[in-house]
Amino acid sequence: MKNNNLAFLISYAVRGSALVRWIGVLGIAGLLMGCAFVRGEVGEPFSEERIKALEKGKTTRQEVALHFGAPDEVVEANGYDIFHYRRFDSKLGWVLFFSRFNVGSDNLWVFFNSQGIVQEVVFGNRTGNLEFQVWPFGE
Amino acid sequence: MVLIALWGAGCDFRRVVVNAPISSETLQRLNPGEDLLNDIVQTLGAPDEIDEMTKGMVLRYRYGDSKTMRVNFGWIFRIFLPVVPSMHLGRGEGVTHVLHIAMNGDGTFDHYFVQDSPAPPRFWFWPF
Repeated sequence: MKNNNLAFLISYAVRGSALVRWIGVLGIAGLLMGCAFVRGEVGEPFSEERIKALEKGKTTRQEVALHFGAPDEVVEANGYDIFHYRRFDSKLGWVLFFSRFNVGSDNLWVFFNSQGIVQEVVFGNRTGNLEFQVWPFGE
Repeated sequence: MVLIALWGAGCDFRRVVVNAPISSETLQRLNPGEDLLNDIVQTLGAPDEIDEMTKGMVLRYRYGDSKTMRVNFGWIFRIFLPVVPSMHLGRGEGVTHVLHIAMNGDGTFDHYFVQDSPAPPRFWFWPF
């Protein structure tokens, strides 16, 4: 929508009379002045190689800690010790009086059996599709 | 014209969205007593939280949405005054949807429950 408005104003500014040209230039300046695009990340991205290096029935708890560092959380559930690693990504788009702040999280869960060997690896990437958006209405 | 009118009124619309909502069609694909953790993760992604139950565990997925609107009535005074006084009225509404996935002690999917909020958030400035 912003692009359409901008294209309309540019065509107006180029083609119109002196007054219309000034209105177009002011409109473009107004749109470009009051804008901000900000990104915030917490934690390092989980690369595919690092996750593939976790082998079920082989990798130990120590090796996981060596690869990924100390977990953000340790959970005990259903007979497993579970290491939880998180990563957050956020994108803010702001133009004049409209803004939208999208936040996404990636979660890596590593399940260990009673011997401290990896039993299950669960990973979800939700930051990959995160977009810069300005329009706060709709979905 | 609408944009200029909103700007002139000192309006401000802000939205914060945390993660994406999970559709009910996706949840229909889960099979109680059959699906394992990997099936759940393939369908819904990795959970945000895992908690222990007496038998089994519960996976939690969260989706948040909040909307804030403000109107600065002080903008009217910019016609008469060199400095615009701040006279804001604003309101923010936020909801968090939580999806619980309960897993049995044998690692199979048991049931799900969606904790929904009564009403979706809306843009409105009146705080009283």
